Amino acid sequence: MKKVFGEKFYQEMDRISQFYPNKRAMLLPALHAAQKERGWISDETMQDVADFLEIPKTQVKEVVTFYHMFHTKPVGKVNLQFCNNIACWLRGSEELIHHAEKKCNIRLGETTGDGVFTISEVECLGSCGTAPVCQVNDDYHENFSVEALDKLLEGRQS
Amino acid sequence: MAKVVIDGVDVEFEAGEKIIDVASKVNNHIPRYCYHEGLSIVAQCRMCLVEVEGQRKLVTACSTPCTDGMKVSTKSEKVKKAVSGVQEFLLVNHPLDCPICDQAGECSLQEYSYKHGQEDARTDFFRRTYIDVDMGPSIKKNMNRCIHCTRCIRYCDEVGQIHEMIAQQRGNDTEIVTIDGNPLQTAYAGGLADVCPVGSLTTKDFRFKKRVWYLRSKDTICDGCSQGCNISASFESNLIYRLEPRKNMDINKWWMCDEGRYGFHHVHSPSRVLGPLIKTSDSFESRLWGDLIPSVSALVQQAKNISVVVAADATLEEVAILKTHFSSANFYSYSPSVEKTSEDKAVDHLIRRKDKSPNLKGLEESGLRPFSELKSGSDLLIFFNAGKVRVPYGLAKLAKNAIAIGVAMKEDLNGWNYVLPSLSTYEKSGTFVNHTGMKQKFAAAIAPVGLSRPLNKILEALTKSDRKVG
Repeated sequence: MKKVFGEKFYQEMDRISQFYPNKRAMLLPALHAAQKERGWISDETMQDVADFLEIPKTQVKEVVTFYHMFHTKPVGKVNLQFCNNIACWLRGSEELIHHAEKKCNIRLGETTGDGVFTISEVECLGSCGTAPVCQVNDDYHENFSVEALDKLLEGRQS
Repeated sequence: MAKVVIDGVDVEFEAGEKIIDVASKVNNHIPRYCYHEGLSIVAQCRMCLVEVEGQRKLVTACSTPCTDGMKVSTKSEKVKKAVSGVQEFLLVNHPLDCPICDQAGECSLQEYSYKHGQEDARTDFFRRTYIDVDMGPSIKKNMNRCIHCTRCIRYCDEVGQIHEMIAQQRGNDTEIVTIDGNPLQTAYAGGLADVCPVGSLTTKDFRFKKRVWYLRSKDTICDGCSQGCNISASFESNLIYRLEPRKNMDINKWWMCDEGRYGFHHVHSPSRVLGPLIKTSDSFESRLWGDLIPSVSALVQQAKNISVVVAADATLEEVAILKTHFSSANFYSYSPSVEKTSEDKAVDHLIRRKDKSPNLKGLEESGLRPFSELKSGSDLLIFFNAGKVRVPYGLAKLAKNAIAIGVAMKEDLNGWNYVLPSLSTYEKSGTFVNHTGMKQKFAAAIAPVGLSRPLNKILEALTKSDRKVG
């Protein structure tokens, strides 16, 4: 098979294949690895993953669209992923989202023109004890506040 | 034999049978959306919940196999409450546009709402809305009505065997789409309208044509190919509106192809010849049967050498009638796609066949010779068909005189001396023999269209003194 991903992708797949009963079961880790390499999951990437796992593209697309953590559009360098489930919502996540929207002058799900910030809403991040939570790329920002958000936005912009 | 007790009734079952199927043996219909006999089981609509004695939680009847002595209750208070709750959730997003929905009258959602639903709605949320989308030549999608049972997705995967439909996004945002918005590739797309329990997927052919409660339907056999799928024809005022598959596990299971499904339009085509025609110097003229029969009769009696070409959509009975009437003639079978049944073969994984005529096997068994052996130069050539096989171009030129009996289209008339309208498959009863040699009898669905007359009446009139076509 033609290699369409970087060497790292195939190494990772080789490493984890022993933990899965078949190739199809490796769909989620494969998508994670593909997203790590390409930043987001385009239609071509779905096809590449489907070819690699020897499953129909339809199944890949269903999974990609099901989970919010897979980006079907390119995202900014800083991806602000606000949890808006019940605990975070009660602790003011909605206000944080509106603030971020106003500050970056974009709507939820959009990316700033310079490609730096993306604001998105995700399902429960499993950190209700420290709500509200915002996941910035791979890091959790717990007990998030407007001040912390301002600091983050300004710090990264400069 | 092992027994299960369903609502106090003992029912025998075979190992592995699911509660939902066993219950239907005793006419206990358990409501279902995602479950379809012919598709894999996913147990996701939760409509078929039943109570099993000794189990704390309700179980889905579609996925739970029966065990000996199992006691099932399908009507307990606990079940009623759960089912009506499921029904209520399904209606949260449903537009309730039944007055303009094609499925109304044969909709599971309507039926179960009536039986298991609640009297009034307790929700007034914003309902998700989508615009209607074309899914290829056969199907139109109305996503608003969808209840996410995923029958269509499984139908495409398992019956059409092309992975082309998906449920994208999730929860409230779930949308059924074809991959990348492509038109459906499967040759069985029309079946999506059959498996869809609501009005989400409808065939463009039938959409907005008729309210289903006006339709009556009769069982018949598809004359589209040598498979002989069991179907029913729905009609009103002697007009056929649609064909649907009937379950026959030996032939077509639950399915039929699009070619067969939409293959009835020649019956009511505006170009179908509906009255007897005679060739004049430059065109064709209509005549009444009584005026025409003497000259046809004379032509037949004068001919010393007659060839009869029988299209392979004729029934066994009609072949027998022709053989008795033209006992000294040479008989040939004609199918547009194959010469002999030995050339016939399956063209896909499911039911479609190469031979696009329903009865070539029967014609061969009746001793008709293949069409290739027909030689030109006979005094009279008689062609008989039922419309599914069209009148072949240039056939009339092979003889001095030519008569076409059957279903002819106005554009196919060139060269024939007489065109005598007879019946299409849906207007007559008879017997077809399918490619495996299975004989299937069928009855007429509708009355003869226009001045078309059955073959036996036409041939009788040729010999009768009063020349009347009964």
